[in-house]
Amino acid sequence: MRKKLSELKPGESARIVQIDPSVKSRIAGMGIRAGEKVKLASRQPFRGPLVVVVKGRETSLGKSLASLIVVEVKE
Amino acid sequence: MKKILLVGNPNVGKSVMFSRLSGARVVVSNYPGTTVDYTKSRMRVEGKEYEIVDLPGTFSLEPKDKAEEVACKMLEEAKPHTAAVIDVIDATAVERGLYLTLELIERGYPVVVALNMSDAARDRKIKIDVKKLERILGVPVVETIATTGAGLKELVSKIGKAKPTDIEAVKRRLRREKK
Amino acid sequence: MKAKARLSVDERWELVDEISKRVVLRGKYKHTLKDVLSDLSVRPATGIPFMIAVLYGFWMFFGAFAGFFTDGLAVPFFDDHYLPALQGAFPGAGPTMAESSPLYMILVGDPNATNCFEAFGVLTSALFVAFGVVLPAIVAFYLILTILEDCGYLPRLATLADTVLHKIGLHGFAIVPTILSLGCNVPAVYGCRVLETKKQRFMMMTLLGVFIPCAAQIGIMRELIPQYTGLILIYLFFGFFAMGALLNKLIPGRSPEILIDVPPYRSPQRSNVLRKLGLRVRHFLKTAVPFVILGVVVVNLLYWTGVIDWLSRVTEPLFVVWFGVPAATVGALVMAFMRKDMAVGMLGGLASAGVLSTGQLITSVVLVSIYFPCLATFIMIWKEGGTRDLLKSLGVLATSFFVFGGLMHAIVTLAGV
Repeated sequence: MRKKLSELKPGESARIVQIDPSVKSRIAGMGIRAGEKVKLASRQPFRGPLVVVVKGRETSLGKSLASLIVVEVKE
Repeated sequence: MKKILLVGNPNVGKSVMFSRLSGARVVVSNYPGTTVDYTKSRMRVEGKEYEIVDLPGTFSLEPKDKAEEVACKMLEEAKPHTAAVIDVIDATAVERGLYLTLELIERGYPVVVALNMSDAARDRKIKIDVKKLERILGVPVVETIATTGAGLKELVSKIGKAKPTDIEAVKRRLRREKK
Repeated sequence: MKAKARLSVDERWELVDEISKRVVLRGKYKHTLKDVLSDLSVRPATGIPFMIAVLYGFWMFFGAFAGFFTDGLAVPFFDDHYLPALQGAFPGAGPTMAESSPLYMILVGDPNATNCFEAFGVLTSALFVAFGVVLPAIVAFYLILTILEDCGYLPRLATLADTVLHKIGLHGFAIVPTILSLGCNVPAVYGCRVLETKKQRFMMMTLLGVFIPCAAQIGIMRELIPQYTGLILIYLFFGFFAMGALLNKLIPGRSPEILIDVPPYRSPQRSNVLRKLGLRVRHFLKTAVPFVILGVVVVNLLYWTGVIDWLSRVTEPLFVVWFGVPAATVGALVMAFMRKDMAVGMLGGLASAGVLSTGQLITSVVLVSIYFPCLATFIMIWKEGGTRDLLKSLGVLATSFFVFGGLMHAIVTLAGV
């Protein structure tokens, strides 16, 4: 099932399938790119930032940025 | 005076390495027109004086924010005077570091790779074949632990061996190495 | 074939993965205590209480450290030994400040002052503020900040704080100058440099200058109305967010979202912490202290040329009608813009003489808190933001003064305090 990275539940893993071109190169250096596995470590309440794990390292990113990333979740 | 630039992702122990490598007179400067600060000092390698500059941490040479932009600009401006770029990689997050390394190689910088925090990598049961990595990249690679100073002597001795290579050559060398 | 081919983002990552497959071998990794802590300190349910504990500890340490050096060492030295010696030795003293020689006035200040804060000379107040007040504050602050940074907590703190701060267009890292300004606004204004865009830096400098009381202002509150200090602080934080939301709408510019690396926890290294601390403190002293001294000279000139007296006469009706305070306090309130301590003394005297009701006292304290804490803050904003930003900040200050002072007047009137 496809959804936005911002819609993952804490602890849930997925594979990144698509990143909006407007942010693609900005987050590429942090290892966030299509094909990569991603896990949502935690999310802050009230539309606050998310912490995701990619290649064993954590990145904190804002919710609207995360909504530009599409992920595929295995059922 | 030729420059030695310290480049790397944020939080890889770059500032500790800078303290270990630099001389006594450390200056904090402000990159003109911005609020981004960086530090520089002098260091001696094989009898020659160099200026050593600790650039703001960056994940990529395609900047995502002001600090990264400054790091990229400083790299570009210093290019004609650069003796070596010490590329500090967190040995527990090699891939992110290598991404920046490849960008540096593509742009023709003379690179020496410092695989820093190799102690933490060992704790995390991560093994890195340094010799093979060196063969593939075609630039010196040294394991370091900046907090204790381990490996820094070797790193300094390799600074003179830093030379530009190109990405097609990296690809060719990669094909020769078995998985 | 091109010699210096550039790869696309995807090509580069493919190459990285190919290299990594050949050189990196990952064994089984057991999670450690640090990983557990890492997770707990950023998850909201556990992270928020942890953050409050850290900030509280930060604040307590800050108070104890600055208190020891400022009140314990600097105040006795400057007031009991240095000031009397200087007042006695410096030529040109008259019976009052106005009758002293101009050089005396600028360098020493008031010949009858009994403490360095009130003397207002370059060699008295400026030196005292710079080295007795600001220096301990920034050493304490940078020490904690560097430790939090080196151990890796800062990105987590920024993540938690971003939830609230990004709502008004700021960034999680704005939590750093926010905490700092509860101690001293001068380094806090400087600390706004961590923010990315001009819009964010301007907003933060202005908001903290106007709404976050520094240790000296909190001291005033606790002296005059200890029972209402907590409520006034809440009122000011409310003002911070209300004004922040408004500024976020009004000011053009970008408010980039948070996007930061969250590294694993590490033990901070003493040598590195001390080295960074030394560098930061030196850099701050070099850039900020000349401006603190300049500020003192400016105040002296304003006072000497009668500008301050004139201001208090002109603004009297505003204070009496809009804020509902008696005419007798206007002098104190105008003076407070430059000299907080004198305002305390004057307001305290008026209150004990029964001229001021509790409600009027609360309104007065709110007004004193909304002013920039001191002229040094004012000068720092000018230095960091330029003349335009300073003027805009002053506009926000005047508006907030008017709105939140008036609102407090309405509240105390309605509450019948």
